This record gives sequence, C-alpha cells and structure tokens, in this order.
Amino acid sequence: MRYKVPAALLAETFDLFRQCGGGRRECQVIWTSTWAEPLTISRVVHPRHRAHGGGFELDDDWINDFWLELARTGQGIRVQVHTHPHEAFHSSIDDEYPILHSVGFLSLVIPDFARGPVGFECAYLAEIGPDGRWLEVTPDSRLQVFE
Amino acid sequence: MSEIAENVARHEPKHSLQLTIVNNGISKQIEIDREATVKALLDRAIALFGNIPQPHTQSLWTEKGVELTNENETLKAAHVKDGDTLLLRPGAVKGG
Repeated sequence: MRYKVPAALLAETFDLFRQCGGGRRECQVIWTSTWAEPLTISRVVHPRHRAHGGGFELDDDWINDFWLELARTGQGIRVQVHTHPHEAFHSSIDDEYPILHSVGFLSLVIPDFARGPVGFECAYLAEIGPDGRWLEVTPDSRLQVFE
Repeated sequence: MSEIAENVARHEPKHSLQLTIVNNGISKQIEIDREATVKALLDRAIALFGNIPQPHTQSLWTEKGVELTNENETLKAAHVKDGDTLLLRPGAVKGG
C-alpha cells in the first residue's frame, strides 16, 4: 500500500515544523485522508501539544475533539509525522505512544527539526506489523509525493 | 399476557444499551447489557474494530473527554446511557 502525498502538503508539514518548533522543539503533525479515498492524503493536522527539545505530548482534550471531528468529516488518520533534533529514528516512546495502533499505520520521523530540505532525505519511516511491532520501511515504498 | 403483565413489561427499564463506538473516523454500533463491565465493553469494541495489535493501549472515553478508567465498574455505575457515543482511542500520545 502506497499513499499519495501532495507536494504542497509535504511543504506545509515542513513549514509547520519550522514555525512551531523554531529549531528548538520537537513537533508533530498528522496526515489524514477521507475514507472514500483513503490512499490520497488530503489534510495536514497540527495537534495542540506540549513540546521540548527531546519530545512532545498531545493534549488529551484535543485528541477527544479530533476523534469526533474525524467521524463527523469521514476522515481517518494515515500517517503521524514528527521531528527529532538530530538523527531520525523511532524511539521507545515513539513505539509505545502513537496516535493509532493499527496494522499498517505509518510513523515518519524528520531529522534536524525539519530544517533541511523538504523531502524524505535522512527521514525514518516505521510501520506497525501484524504482531504490533514497528518495522522500518523505506519512505519510497509507502509514500509517493506528487505535484 | 395479562394486562398487568403487559403494563409491567412496558414500564420495565431496558436492560441493554445501544452504544456508538468511534475509532479513527469510523462509527460502529454495539448492544450490551448495562450491567456489563467497562472491560467487557472495551474488549468488544476492540474486537469489533479488529486490527489493533496492542489492545492494552486503548481505552474508552466519553464525548466530553472523560476516560472510563475503572474497568471493573458496570456501565450503569459508570453512567453510560442508552444512545451514548464512546471513543476508542489511546490514553496518551507522545513522541521523543
């Protein structure tokens, strides 16, 4: 399964990381698509969260409201994307506390607080396998950016 | 059935609850006894959606954002009412 990601949404993702994180704090966004057309990412959502140089946590009330909004608008979460200060990898906290625990869910980590070029260079992509464990997959195998 | 029995049946409170469970933008219906525990409802909700390999990470929340934390409590005691919508979602979302 390969999601189609509009280049504009990828650029928006990097803009949000740079504005919110300011090169000093981690940040997360969530990519969603409609259930009618699940393979085409259609929205970047910037959650209400607390963050510092080495991590972030989403606001509980915000998650609740978001869950209801997804049902109201017929959308689903497909990929969570967050930054790391330096190297991109999936930490034990990333493994344990994703926004979605379902087989095939993707988690993309962008290095250097997203200060580098827009794209997947040096990014790390992980996917939940059938046994619930995260496995590294290549971004190109799951994400196709289009203009 | 006698007229008295019919009247009793008509006014007897309903024992089952029709609930809507929401997970990742999808809503599904569950009918469950109001004396069932929160844990029983959670297990059924997880089974209903399937594809959740780490079920211990999930919990049920009301629309107002209250987590049903006592899994041994009955739904009646947890003030879950017929027609309610509950959210099946992770308790915490973090990264680092």
